[in-house]
Amino acid sequence: MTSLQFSSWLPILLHGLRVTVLASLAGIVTSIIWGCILASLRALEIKPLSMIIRAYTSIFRNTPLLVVMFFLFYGFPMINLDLPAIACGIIAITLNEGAFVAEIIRGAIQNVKKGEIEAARSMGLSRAQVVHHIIFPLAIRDSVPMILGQSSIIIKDTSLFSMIMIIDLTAAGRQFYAKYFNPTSIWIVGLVYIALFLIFSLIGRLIERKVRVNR
Amino acid sequence: MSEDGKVLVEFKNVDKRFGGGKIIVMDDFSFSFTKGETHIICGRSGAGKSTLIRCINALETIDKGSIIIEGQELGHKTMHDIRKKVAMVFQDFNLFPHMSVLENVTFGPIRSLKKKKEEAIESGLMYLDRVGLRDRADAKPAQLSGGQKQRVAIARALNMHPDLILFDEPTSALDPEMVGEVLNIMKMLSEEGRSMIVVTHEMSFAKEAADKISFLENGKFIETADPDTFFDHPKHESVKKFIDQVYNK
Repeated sequence: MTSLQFSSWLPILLHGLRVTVLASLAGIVTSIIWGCILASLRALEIKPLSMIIRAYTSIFRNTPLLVVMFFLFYGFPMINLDLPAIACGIIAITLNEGAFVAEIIRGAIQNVKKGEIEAARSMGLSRAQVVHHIIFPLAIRDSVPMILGQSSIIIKDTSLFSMIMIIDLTAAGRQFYAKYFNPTSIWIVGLVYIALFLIFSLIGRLIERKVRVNR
Repeated sequence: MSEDGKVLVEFKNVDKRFGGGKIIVMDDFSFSFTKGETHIICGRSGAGKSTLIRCINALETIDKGSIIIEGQELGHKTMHDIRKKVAMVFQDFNLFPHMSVLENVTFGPIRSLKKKKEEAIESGLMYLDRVGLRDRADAKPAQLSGGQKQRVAIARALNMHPDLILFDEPTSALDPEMVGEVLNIMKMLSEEGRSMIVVTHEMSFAKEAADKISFLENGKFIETADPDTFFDHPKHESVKKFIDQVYNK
């Protein structure tokens, strides 16, 4: 890679990096919110609602993200919904990863001590209040490490954006290769991803320390 | 208390079984509890003492009969209202680990009784003071000893301004050196004339603080008496044996 080649590619790389970082952040936030909503609704233990959510999670956990992305990207225009590609990508991530986050939180909800729930119930709180003030806050704290793990998967997920015509980090690397048949750009992109993970896990560890509940 | 003598809790012909009917907790069980009393329930482990008092707070359901609390029959509709008047202190404390001591004590009044925050904090601090833990108001439960946790749990119960407090083996999970601090507070509450139903193995506490002691066996109170009669002249053979084993050891 000559310096001339690199300097002409650099703006594309930076653009790709920006797209990847922003899409990752958006995807992480929306997936966590969606996962929390699904998990809390399920914790209300209303039978029909739980069944719907169970069906939803099993469908989206077992459908490849790329398929969901294609489905939205090519499917939305057919119902005259003209969403930008990036929105399709983020919605697809949210639908899929939200299902995983919901399952993580559900697991943590099942681990909340029965006695703590009973203490709240014995004060005359409704099921919804108990979920809101006791079960959910405890479960979310317990599931932070696993949600962080899922979040780094989301960062990797965004590389699929290159398949729906978005110039993200992966697409930027491929563009250089396509032009010069030189795979150095792919190496560089790989290193940038690793740097992103390192930064992310550092932030993650800070969050983890902040929210941990000692028993 | 001016209304002493009024019936607060009444069990009418209650049945409660576990394990497909094999384990009998209550069998055509009737019992009434008078306001202002300290009533101790004892019995062999597995007799169902905890289950019995958990029924009063609808943490367990009964199979047959009815439980009437302050004139209201305990049921699905009245459950939440009744729970607001009947506080519970658990064996394992069950403090909320993500909240501070003060938040634990004010949570119920604010969220369930819809009290103003300032009001709940003021009375919460007062009760924490009474259990000797006002200076730990900002601590998290994990930073407290077992005895301190149970004292916070008692303050939490008191701050609900309950008409009745249920104690479910409140000292059983404590190290021996911490039992006293909890029992002392319970004695103080008993002397104030608070209505308390206590499941405990602490027979010396029972002797000092109880107005009545009952012995649960095979789904019935086979003996109910004041402490002196209960300990000195028990009628039933199995109560005699129990006292010999637990108290005169």
